Amino acid sequence: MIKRLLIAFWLIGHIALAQDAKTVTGVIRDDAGFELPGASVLVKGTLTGTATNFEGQFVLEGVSPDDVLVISYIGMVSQEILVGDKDYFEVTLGADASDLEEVVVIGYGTSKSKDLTSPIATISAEEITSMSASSAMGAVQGKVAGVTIVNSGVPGEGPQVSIRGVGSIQNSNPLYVVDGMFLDDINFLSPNDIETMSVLKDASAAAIYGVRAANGVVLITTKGGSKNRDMQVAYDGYYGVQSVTQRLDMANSEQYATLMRAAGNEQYVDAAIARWGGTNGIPAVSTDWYDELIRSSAPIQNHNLSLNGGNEKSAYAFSLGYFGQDGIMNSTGYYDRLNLRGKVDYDVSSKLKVGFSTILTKEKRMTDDGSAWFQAYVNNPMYAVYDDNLADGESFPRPYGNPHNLGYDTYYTNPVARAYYHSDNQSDITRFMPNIYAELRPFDSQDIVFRSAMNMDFRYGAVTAYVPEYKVGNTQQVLNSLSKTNNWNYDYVWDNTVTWRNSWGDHNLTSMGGLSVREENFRWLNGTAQGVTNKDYLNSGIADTRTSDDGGTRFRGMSVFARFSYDYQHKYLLSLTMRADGSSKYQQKWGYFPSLGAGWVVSQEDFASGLTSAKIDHLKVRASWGLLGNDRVPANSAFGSIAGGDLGSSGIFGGSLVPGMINNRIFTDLEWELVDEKNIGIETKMFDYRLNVEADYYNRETRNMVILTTLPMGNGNLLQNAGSVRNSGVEVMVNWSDKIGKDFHYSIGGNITTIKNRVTDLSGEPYLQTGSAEFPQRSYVGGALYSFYGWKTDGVYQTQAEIDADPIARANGLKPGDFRYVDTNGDGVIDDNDRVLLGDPNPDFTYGINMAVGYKGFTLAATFQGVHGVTIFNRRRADINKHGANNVDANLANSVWTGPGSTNSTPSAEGLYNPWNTGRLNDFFLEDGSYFRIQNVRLSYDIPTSVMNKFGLGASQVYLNADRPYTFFSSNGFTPEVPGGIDESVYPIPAIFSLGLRLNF
Amino acid sequence: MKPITKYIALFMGLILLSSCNDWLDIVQEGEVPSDEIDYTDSSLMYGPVSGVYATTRERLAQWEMWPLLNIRGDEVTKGGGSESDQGEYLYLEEFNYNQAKGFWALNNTWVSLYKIVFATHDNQELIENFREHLVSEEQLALADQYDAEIIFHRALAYYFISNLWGNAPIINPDDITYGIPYQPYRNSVESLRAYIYEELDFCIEHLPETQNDRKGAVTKYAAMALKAKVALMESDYNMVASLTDDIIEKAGLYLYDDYYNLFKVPGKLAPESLYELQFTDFDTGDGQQVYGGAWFQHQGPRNNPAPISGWGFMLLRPEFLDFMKGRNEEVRWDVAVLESGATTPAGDAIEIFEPNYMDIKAHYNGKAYLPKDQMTPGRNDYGSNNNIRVLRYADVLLMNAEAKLQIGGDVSTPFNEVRRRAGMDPISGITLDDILDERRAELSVEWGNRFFDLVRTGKAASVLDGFETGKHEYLPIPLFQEDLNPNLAGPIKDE
Repeated sequence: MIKRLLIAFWLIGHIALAQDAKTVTGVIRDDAGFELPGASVLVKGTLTGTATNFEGQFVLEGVSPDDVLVISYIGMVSQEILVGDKDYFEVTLGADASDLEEVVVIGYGTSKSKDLTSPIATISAEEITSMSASSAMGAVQGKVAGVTIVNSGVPGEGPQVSIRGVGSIQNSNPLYVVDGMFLDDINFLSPNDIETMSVLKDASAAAIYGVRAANGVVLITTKGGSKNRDMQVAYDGYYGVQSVTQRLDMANSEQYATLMRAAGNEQYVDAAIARWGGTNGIPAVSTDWYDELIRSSAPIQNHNLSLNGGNEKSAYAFSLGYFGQDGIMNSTGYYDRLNLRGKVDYDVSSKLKVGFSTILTKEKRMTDDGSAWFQAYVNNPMYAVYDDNLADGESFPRPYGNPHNLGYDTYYTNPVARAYYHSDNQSDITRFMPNIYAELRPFDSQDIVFRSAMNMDFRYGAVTAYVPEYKVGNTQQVLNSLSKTNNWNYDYVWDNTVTWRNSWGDHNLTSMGGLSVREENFRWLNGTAQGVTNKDYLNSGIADTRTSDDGGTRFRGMSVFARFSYDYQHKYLLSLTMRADGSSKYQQKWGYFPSLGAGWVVSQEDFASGLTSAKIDHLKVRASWGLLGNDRVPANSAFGSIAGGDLGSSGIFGGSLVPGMINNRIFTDLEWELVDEKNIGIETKMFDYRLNVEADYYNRETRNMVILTTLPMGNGNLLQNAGSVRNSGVEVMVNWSDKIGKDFHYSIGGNITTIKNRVTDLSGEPYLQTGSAEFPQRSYVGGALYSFYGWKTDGVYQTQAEIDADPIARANGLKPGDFRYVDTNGDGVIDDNDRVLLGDPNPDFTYGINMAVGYKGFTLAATFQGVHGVTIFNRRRADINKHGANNVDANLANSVWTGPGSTNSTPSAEGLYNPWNTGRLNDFFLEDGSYFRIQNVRLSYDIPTSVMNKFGLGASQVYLNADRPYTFFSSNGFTPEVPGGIDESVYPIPAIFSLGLRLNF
Repeated sequence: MKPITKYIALFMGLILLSSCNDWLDIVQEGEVPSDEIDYTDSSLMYGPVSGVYATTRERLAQWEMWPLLNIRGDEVTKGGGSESDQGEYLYLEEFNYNQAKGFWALNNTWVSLYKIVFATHDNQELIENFREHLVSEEQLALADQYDAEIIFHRALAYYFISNLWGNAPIINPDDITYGIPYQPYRNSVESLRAYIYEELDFCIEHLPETQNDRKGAVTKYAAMALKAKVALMESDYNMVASLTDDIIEKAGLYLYDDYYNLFKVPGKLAPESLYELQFTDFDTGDGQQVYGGAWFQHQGPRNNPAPISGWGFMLLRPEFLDFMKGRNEEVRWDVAVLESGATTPAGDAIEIFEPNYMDIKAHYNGKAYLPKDQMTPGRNDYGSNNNIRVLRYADVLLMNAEAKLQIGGDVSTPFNEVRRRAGMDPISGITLDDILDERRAELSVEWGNRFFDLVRTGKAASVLDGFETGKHEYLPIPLFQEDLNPNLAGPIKDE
């Protein structure tokens, strides 16, 4: 009621003031004297306003002398000028040292940075393109506190992203919202097309996305044009080479032979020497399979051409991009991407604005065979890639050497042959993402905007995998095989919002309400055939061998939401959101997600004037709470289902199949997975905005955590609401940047995030068991999620005397060089009751450091990034447990116990093959996954405009980039960045060295 | 304000839409809810039965179960490329059970057998749904028969569970509340066997005497043979005698003459077969096949070219070979033993394999051997198109002889019938040791028979090195299962 009255008064006032109208003109420049096109000139407290033209000039009618003009431009300090009796204004806007006026994209709207009540990290276009990565998220690593990124070396594959710790076993990737479309990843998007990226880290900001927001939200706005601007054409591109700078060294033939003799496997060594030669019991051939499998260098390149501009009524942007990356495996893997994008906004009238944008992507990918990496680790080094002395028909079509003629079984196969014959794995994805919107401001007097936007995402994927006929020893593909899969996706999000910005006196209120409907459809169709005569067509295969299969998924969601953002004098800030979400994935259809945020800008207070003398320019404290949902769990049917008719579910009777059915009665009624998050933060800017500090404490508790559990008694696996887990910690970001004199500038900054992961509830169960049967992981209340669970070693028995003195050693027939285990319960026996938690794969803290120095046009910038306190499980080494003829890494071969006093941490060569030492999960297989990485070093030079102008070109830059040139780490693998903390068969992540150019025409 | 009205209409439309939850209530794609099967169509009713055969075929043929069943006897050692190749099996051979508690094969075997149990309960529920729509006596009797076919497989799984673990849980489907982990306690081995009897009695009552439509499907006599095997473990010789007498008298089974081919393609579903895991390549040289896979391959000759090639596991022990030689077994030698460095009677040359952990060259399990010339041209997998024999008439005859020896009766007829087929002269004055030796020669490396024979007759401790009576009869509960269900380590609870 009061509000209505206030509105009425405001309207009357407005009409009264409009009486002595006149026309004013002017020009707006920046502090270098250049005219600013597209600057905004607005009569304060009204919607009356205009923008400057190409020459920075403006004309505004109907202005009264009492009006105040608000003149603003992105990145400049706004000015307010009383009109008075002047008719012509020359305004110079200064650059804004603070980012307080920066407009930040928030869910379904925007806000000024200074009015935010939650921590939202924004990443600029420049930062996103600072690294040579196919996906924009790769470049974010180490730059934003609270965002953990695990990269992949596979061409075109995006990183795993998690915001503020791991909440549930299900997909921890955040929600990406690209111009309104909900997406699971943005790997298809060219980093050059991104204008801004906002990471909504806490619940108060993310809750407006309700059920999709539990893992955090990344909002992305693609580049658009600007009104009243001449067409600008720009080229941005680089060419680089990828190279694996840090390799895992494997044991050579001599070391391997020693191990095999100790293992009682000397027959392999003897066979190798008999076949391939050797002296003094050392095989002549010593193949480093990783050397054979890794290319010395592979190219990566990116080219992007964009043009944008606009007139009084419209703005446009178009771009064309190409990205290409070859795999580092000595095979055929590559990733190619072509992006085509257009965005047009048009003012139909002063009230109606419409727009259309579209992204067209064509991705082509050839996937290397990942298991070749694992084969390179386990295969013995004693034979060569090619063999000249093969028996007839032993290997064809290529004369690859094989381990089988040395007596190895088919668990082992020539890694190079494996990579070669299984390299024809092609996928093509064509993606079309149109977006259309209309925005209506029906009232002149009120800033009320209705907006309806339809976002669609069509994907069509064609996957072809072909394996030729081949034989490598006993590994044989008798008939060639072809598999073709077509995928079809159709997703849409239809958003309808109304936003009302309202101010009275010192009060500002923005209200937003909306309704959103979405649907995701996915269908696939697969066919296979063998013995094809044409590898493009299934119908050229043998009729009996042809099979077909299909499937799909479908989800629907519907949401109603509202947000109220209020401030008093930009001093006291309050934000409220509410979202109701309906989802077809749950039996409980509707969920409700509220949030609350409050902020206090202390530095705005009168009593805080003392702060200024203490060099504190800005100080804000804020707190927030919210509930988020997670529906990124596999849809749950809540009813029994039946598989039937196929070979696996049908009985055979005298050679004939009788169609069968298998009833699956295992299901649960899942409840919504919820995240309850609290955040307290402080932001300050000091020393003339040169020092920025932002610190947040967060506490997010995932409730009804949906976890795929292994059921007792072998009754399968089941998704269950298994309890709660809490991630809490502190995020601190500090940045200092300054200029010395006119030509020298520098900046240094750092960020750190601590993560404490604790299980808080397991619905009464004593623990949660996950992982494999042999290498289990356990989660206890009060402990971290997914801790490795096994035996703790206590050194190695050094002498026979030590064995004789220990009843445990005697009882188990141990020898010097075997592990001594900690008898944790002190019962004199080592058994399953002695198992303890041995560490978990969740990091204790992650950090990043970035620095830059610039002199005139030169800038040297570097980013460092690290993770601390991760335990990773060396699954590759542990494979020796099942496969005693495996090769091992050189580090292990060099560190085996060789006699009393030689080592107290590794068993003897013989002991490596005793299940007592290696047939169980113990801390010997667990390694410290901490690392510190030189993430990026970049040297750039801005070519003086005066030089470029001679060639008819604008501002331009050349740069040299080194991505991930070196990492400090101690684990025995290619990289400590392994998903889930399990290092099994990881594609090496190459370093990238590139040369780039930015040109403005 | 025309656009405004449009918007209002639009919003109204949406609100109407949101009021109906039906829009969100959709079935996930790619799944057939169990209540959408047409249960009134009784011709579909065999589907759930056929599904249980498929599950049993897949689970009982898991290779890792096979050494677990057989290596504790005195016939085979695990074999493989080296001593450390799946080295945990050696712990079992040496009766060092404690160290094998975490062994993956132990867990997989447990899981496989209980999977069969769960599958039978799940699919019986489907039969129940059909039953509601059945009217005629004849149809209801058919439903009973189908139930009995399913239940037979459950009894078979429990037979192995009770022999391997002794005290183990009986799954009560009524106790399973999905969403709450089902954590049963163990039952005693006695109550477990009583439960198997009960189940098999239902089977014997409702199963047909012959299965003409579906070859190799279980009959009344298969159920009786299985029940006799359980009774033998309990030393209930009266029951063994009456069951085996019935089979001998009424089933019309006879021993297959061509003993060499009994375990090969011509012997599939031979007249002496009571139950087999059935596989097929559909008589085509390419395309899909239902194949016993690693069950054959792990027993196949190492270092030998395909198709007669495998991993070289399950090597016959010297004492077993000496035993066979000492008896002058020729017919059964050729079937039981696949010698490396020799050519088989069927003409396949087998590359020599001299494992460094044995004093003799490798002798593989001949009952997994399939000659190349019996394979469909185009197929290249060891054992392709062959079945795995589970219950056969020779065992019934030997059980009958043993029971008669214990309770009085004609021992010699059934006993010498088995010998005659194997080309051995009949003997008289038959003792229990004669019968156990005959079983060892006839039933070598078949489903753990030898170890179970030694255990049930109390001879294990004297024959097997390291075996202690009262301690090593049963395998330890897999560690992973105890972790998932701590009640397995708790007290035995019989209802």
